[in-house]
Amino acid sequence: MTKMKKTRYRRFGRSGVSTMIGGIIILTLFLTALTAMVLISQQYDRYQTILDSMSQQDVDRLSENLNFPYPGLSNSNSSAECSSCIQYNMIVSNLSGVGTQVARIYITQPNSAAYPLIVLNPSSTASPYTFSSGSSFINPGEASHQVIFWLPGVNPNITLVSSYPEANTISVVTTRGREFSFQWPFPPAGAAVPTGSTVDMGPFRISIDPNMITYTTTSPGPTSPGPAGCANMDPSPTPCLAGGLYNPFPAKGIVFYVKLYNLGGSNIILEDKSALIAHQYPATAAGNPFPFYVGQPMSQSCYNAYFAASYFDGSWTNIQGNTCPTPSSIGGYNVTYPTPVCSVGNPCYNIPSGPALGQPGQEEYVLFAANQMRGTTPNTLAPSSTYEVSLALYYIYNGYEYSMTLPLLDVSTGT
Amino acid sequence: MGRRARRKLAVSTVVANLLMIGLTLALAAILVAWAGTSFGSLSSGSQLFFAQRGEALQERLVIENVFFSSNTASNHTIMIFVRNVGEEQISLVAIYVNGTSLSPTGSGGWLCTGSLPVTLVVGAVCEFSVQWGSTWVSGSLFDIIVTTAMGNRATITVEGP
Repeated sequence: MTKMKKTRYRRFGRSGVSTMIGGIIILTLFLTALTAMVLISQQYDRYQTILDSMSQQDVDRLSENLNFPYPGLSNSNSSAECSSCIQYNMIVSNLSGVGTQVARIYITQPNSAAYPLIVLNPSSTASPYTFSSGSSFINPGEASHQVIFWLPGVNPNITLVSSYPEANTISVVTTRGREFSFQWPFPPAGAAVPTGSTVDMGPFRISIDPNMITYTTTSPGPTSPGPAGCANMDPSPTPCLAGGLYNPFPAKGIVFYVKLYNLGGSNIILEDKSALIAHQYPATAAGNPFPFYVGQPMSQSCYNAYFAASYFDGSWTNIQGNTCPTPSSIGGYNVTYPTPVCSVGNPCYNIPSGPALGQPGQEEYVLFAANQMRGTTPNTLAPSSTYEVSLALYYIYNGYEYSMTLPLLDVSTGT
Repeated sequence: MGRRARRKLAVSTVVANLLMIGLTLALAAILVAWAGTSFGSLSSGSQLFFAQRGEALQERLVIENVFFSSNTASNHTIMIFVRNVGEEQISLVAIYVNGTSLSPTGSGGWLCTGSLPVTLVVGAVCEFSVQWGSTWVSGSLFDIIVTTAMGNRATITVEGP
């Protein structure tokens, strides 16, 4: 028994020392690893914070959205704050949800040999080649904010050319690094056309000029709108009702002509569903639609007479039909998708493309009159009423069917 | 027998225990030292990695404007405006135009310096004037790349006038 006790005591004694040493070793190793892990975690956290911060900056940068509404710039020949300057006010709308600070403005003048590039920096005082730092911040959602900048007005006198096509490119750089540009003066929509301005929709260009809409009389030959948009119908009132479309009672049929260009890369064939739709706006009731469906192209002799009488501007059309429309009769137009039949007996509007994509082809006068699809009787408008007229075009382009609607004009009729 | 048996022991029990403890402590010291070095290198390595990545992340630069100022027989100057929009100053080390490394030359009103590398502080902008090798054709495209010492770059594609 005595021997056993001694042995147990000795064994326990050794275990105590080794356990303590082993524990210390393990604890030391664990603490070393833990310290390293804590340090690495802290560094990763710092890295992650930077990552989040820069990601937010990227989001803010991409959120910036400046827009330059018409007219883009306005200028005054002199500046109250800077006597030797020409002051310009740049109109900017901030369409984004983040405030935007303008850092620099670049103006490129392609036709100025002496000053092809102008660089403007922010300044708290008015001086040449600067913009007002006080006006350089655009609040989120702020519309038509004015950023003021100054160009030298004396030695040299730099006045931006304000006529197109000698347009200036104005680039606005923000402090976040985005760049927004616009041309000043604003270019017209599309290339130059004979007169007036234009509206481009899809492959179509609709020319807005005095001869865009013409009207029939009893005898062949339309009447161009007179002063204040007054159209003389037969019998013509004397004087014509200014601003009104005179329509005698009983009402007579009306033939509208709309001048179209093709900007696409291939021909466009109009379908018989195309129409001018006049929506009536009576004083006290829901208005009726008055459709004027597309009619058959005119005969060559009729076109010749209209061009000769200057009812139509331009020169020649390559689309001819067999009839000369009157307020009581037109040729029915029968062209459908997907198999349009265009023949001498059934002429269709096959509007030619231009020399290249985006350039207008030969202008074409399209006739709208029929009171029903493929009809031969021109529709009428009720007297003493007002109408909002939309142009609905259905057409075949590159073998596919398309359509579009354009609010075109307002019409009022006399008594 | 007992005396003969005791004589067979090489060292006494106490000495043997002391030897074992000494060896264990020595090995433990080696192990702790190795672990400390390893974890230390891991920690410092990761610190360096994250610090460098963090600095690289804070770099932001943009090419805000390119202007083709001259295209004569002997002078084909392209002006490149670079802005630091990040949170760290950056060191610009190279400019490539259509894959060709070009050195900035000439002088200009907004030129920072004539040679690379260029240090660009936060918010600052530099104009670099570089000479393209030949007369460019109107409408030809130029891919311009500006790189930093941290490996970031700004790119832009512009059309020659």
